[in-house]
Amino acid sequence: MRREPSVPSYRILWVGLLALALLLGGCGTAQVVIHQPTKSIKNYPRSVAILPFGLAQTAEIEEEPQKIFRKVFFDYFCYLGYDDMTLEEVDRRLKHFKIEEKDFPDISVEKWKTILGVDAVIKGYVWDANNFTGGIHAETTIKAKLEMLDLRTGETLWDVDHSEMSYSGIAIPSVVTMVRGQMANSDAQLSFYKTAESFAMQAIKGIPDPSGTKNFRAVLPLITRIESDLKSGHLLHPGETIHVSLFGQPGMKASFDIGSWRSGIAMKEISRGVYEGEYKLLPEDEIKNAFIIGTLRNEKGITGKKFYKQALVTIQDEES
Amino acid sequence: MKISQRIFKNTLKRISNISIFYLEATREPLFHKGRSWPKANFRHSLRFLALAVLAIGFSACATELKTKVSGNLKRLSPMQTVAILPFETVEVGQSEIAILLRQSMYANLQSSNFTLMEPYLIDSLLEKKGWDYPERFNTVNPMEFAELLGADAVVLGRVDKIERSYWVLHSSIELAVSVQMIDTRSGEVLWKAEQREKDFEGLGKIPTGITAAVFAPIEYVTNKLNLHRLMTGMVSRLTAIIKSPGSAKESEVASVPEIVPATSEGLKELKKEQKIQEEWDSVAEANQPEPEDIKPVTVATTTTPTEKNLPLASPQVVQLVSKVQPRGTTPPPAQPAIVSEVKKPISSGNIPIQPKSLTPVHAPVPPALKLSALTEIKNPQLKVSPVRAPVIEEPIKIAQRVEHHPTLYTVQVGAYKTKFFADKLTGTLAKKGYDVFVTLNSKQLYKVQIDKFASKEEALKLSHELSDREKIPSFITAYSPS
Repeated sequence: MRREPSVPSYRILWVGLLALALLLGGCGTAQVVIHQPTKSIKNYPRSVAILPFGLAQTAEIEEEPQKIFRKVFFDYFCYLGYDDMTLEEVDRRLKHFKIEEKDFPDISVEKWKTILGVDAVIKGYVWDANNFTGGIHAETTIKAKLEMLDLRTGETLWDVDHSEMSYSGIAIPSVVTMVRGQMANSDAQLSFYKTAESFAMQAIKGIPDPSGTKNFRAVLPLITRIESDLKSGHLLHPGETIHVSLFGQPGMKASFDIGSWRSGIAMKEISRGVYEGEYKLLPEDEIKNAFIIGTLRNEKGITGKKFYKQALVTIQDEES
Repeated sequence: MKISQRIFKNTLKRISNISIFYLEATREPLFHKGRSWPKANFRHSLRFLALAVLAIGFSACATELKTKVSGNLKRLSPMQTVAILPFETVEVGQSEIAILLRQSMYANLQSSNFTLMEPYLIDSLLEKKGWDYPERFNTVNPMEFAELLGADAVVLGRVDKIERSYWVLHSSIELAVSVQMIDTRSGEVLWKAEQREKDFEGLGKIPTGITAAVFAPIEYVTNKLNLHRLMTGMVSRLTAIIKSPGSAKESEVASVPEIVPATSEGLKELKKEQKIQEEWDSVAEANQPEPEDIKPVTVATTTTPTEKNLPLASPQVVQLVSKVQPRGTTPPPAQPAIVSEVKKPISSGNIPIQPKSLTPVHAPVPPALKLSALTEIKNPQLKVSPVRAPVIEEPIKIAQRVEHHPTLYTVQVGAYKTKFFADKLTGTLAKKGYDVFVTLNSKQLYKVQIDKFASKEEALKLSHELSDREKIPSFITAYSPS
């Protein structure tokens, strides 16, 4: 006669499963190994490009988790004090030079520097990406290694090798959470996104931030003065032209706004550090109490602004 | 294999047993002794399923989102920069979540239609300005943010509540935030949202056993990742409307543009100042004397050789007649104010700008323009001449006749390449009561000088005094304002 296993042994197993669920729920933290702290390098890399991430699996996954992960990681990485090259720009340059992922290992740091023109690159490799939903078990995993390579020295500055998993299955302690988890996991794209987000958030905590270094300086393009021919209290009419002059750093892109009604009206640098522009009021313009705001933009897209406070732009109502 | 089957079977059994607890109408258990689980009553299974669905529906993460967007939000383009400022916290211990919220919002808004300003740049500029207190951001005129950060809009956020509660078999996490995006150019609120999210673990979620019922609430409330997950989900829902403003429902679009109070107040003040300016202008125009015999006396100017060719770029000759008269001279009689319009009037046609050389004309000092504003021009290319700014109690628009413009003498105590050192010495001597000021010469040297005298002898007296009292070497030089 066969004996049923005793209840306590099941209890132990159950507690074990629960502990496993709790462990999976926590899923550890991403340990970033820093090879070169920001303090150890005089000029820590500032401009960084994130290369397309590789995927180890041979079987193609429709959602392309490596692309999702790269995008999500970029979104979070931008928060740090690096000058990030946009993913589109990186891809454009790679395409221009006809470089594919399989060619990456053969490209030297010097060549990367020439192609991308940045101080460092981040290489990423997804060892395992998995999304599975099946009755009592559902999980989404991203196991990847990321590393930042200084293109000036060829040294690895930091790396992180981590596995992030979202789990929902039999070991989850409540039915509702389990079912909800299964439902959420069935949307593979979203699940990969969320898992990648958890991975990125954890990794960002440990990645060195150069904005904390001593030689970091935050400076906006300088505008010393803005002038206009506007007269205080004067109501304008369609057809009239507003002239604006801006004095500041030379060699920048200058524009002016009329409040938020008209933006980015181009200005021309007529002589070193002196910009001029004008705007002819149109019949459809309905502008009231708007400031003239001058903007200077440098090549990195950083802007400086200055308000012309002596007068406001107001177009006279036709009725009045 | 057998063990896993057993576990699976046991789990389902537990689930079914728990369902009995909830389903009062069903008195008998779903699985009777001696009957295998696949043969369970179909009706009971359906009831259980309905119950589970109901439970999921009720116990799903409670979300309360109130959001309003302005129609002008759509106008933001990649040319516009938006700065997400540090989030305000209302209680101690919320700072970590405040940082994560900002980080998550930044990552989520990367795919929006505008350009985000790098947070490190924002933090650095705020720190430089000494604005380290997010709780005061609401009181700042958005215009000031625009000039400080160069941003077209700012996002202000506040963590209203983070609450983690635990009652043995039930635990919950509640998170509430409020955010608003303000157009710095107009002060208009482009987006306003308040969101509250709450989730829990416990009996309401049908635990799969006694152990789970006890441990799950503990794990839920102690594991930080649960709060983080709630937060990321929250930000994702919160920012959805910003990423696609066109998807906003009619009820979510503000019918009337809302202007932040700080801007409204600032605008009122500015209008007042502009009105005073207008009055000054009209009075000055009425009293305008013949221009030939009038020349400005003290001039703080920002000039560059290129400016001469500008049609609009007036040399901005600003007359500053010091109330402190040089020693040994009699104060000149008050003269009528000069008013000459530097700027050409608004052209009514589309007249192209023709470069022409301008002769320096005298722009009236707007009442709103404080002298500090004149001395704050820092671009070395524009050769600023930071004449010691006298304290002006009322707008000065009086110029002197300059039939006699005698040479003035001053005592020079130092000359520096770095303005900092010049200012330092100025501060020290000013504290001691000396009438000290700084001038900048053509070699970019900041000269620290004391007082102005009509005669060399008087200047020499002061020089000796300085030597005796302060042990500072000095010499006499002709006073030149720039």
